[in-house]
Amino acid sequence: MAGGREQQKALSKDIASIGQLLAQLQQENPMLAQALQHVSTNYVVNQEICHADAPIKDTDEIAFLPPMSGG
Amino acid sequence: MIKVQREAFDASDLLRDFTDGCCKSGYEDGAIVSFTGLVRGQAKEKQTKQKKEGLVLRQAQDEAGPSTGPSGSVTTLELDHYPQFTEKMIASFEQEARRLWPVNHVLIVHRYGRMAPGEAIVFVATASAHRKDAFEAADYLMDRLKTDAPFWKKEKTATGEAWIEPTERDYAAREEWSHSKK
Repeated sequence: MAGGREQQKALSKDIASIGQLLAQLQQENPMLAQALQHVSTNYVVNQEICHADAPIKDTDEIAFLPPMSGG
Repeated sequence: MIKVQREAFDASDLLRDFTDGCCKSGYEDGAIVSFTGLVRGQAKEKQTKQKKEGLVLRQAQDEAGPSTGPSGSVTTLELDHYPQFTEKMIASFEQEARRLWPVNHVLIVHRYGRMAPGEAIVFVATASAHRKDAFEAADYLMDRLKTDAPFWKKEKTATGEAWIEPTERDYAAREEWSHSKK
């Protein structure tokens, strides 16, 4: 994650999707939220690639992955 | 089989063990193909980030020639990964390769951490009854690793460092498989 690898956040009950989480981050840290919404970002919830409307809940592991490149 | 590891490996040892393993399970394989990827000594593209200065375009580089030109000798390549998820994604590439080609054995070894130019970073081996299947499956696996494997590469040179992303050519190579195979 920009400025750090991981953050632990308590998820409020009105946040039920990655899109809503990004909206909350937009309030707290607009630069971070903007970076995470880059078109090439992959959203991963509990190690499954998801869309922005994928449901999330407290205790989920959520990852925002920049373009990947192995090999 | 998939191994994601920090430790260096010897591609010759891996190939010998892979070949032994194929023979031990019978003599159904008529072809073994292997690929070893090495850390290049020349930077892949111009540096867009310089240490402690955020986004700074290298003006001299821009003036010197095409923006994709090399920008000096690589001192180290650092690879980050996402434990468990990286293995899981690579396993899905192997599964897909096995669905598309009749390969009997597959080995994928990929390193993370800090590497120097000349060190092996990735090893892929495939075994099948006939050579074309082994060649194509290995090629497919490398194309998927280049664009879809959860690794993030940072190239360091004497003048700075840059994150390396797949090129248009890498993405095009991956796309070709979706057109040629179902």
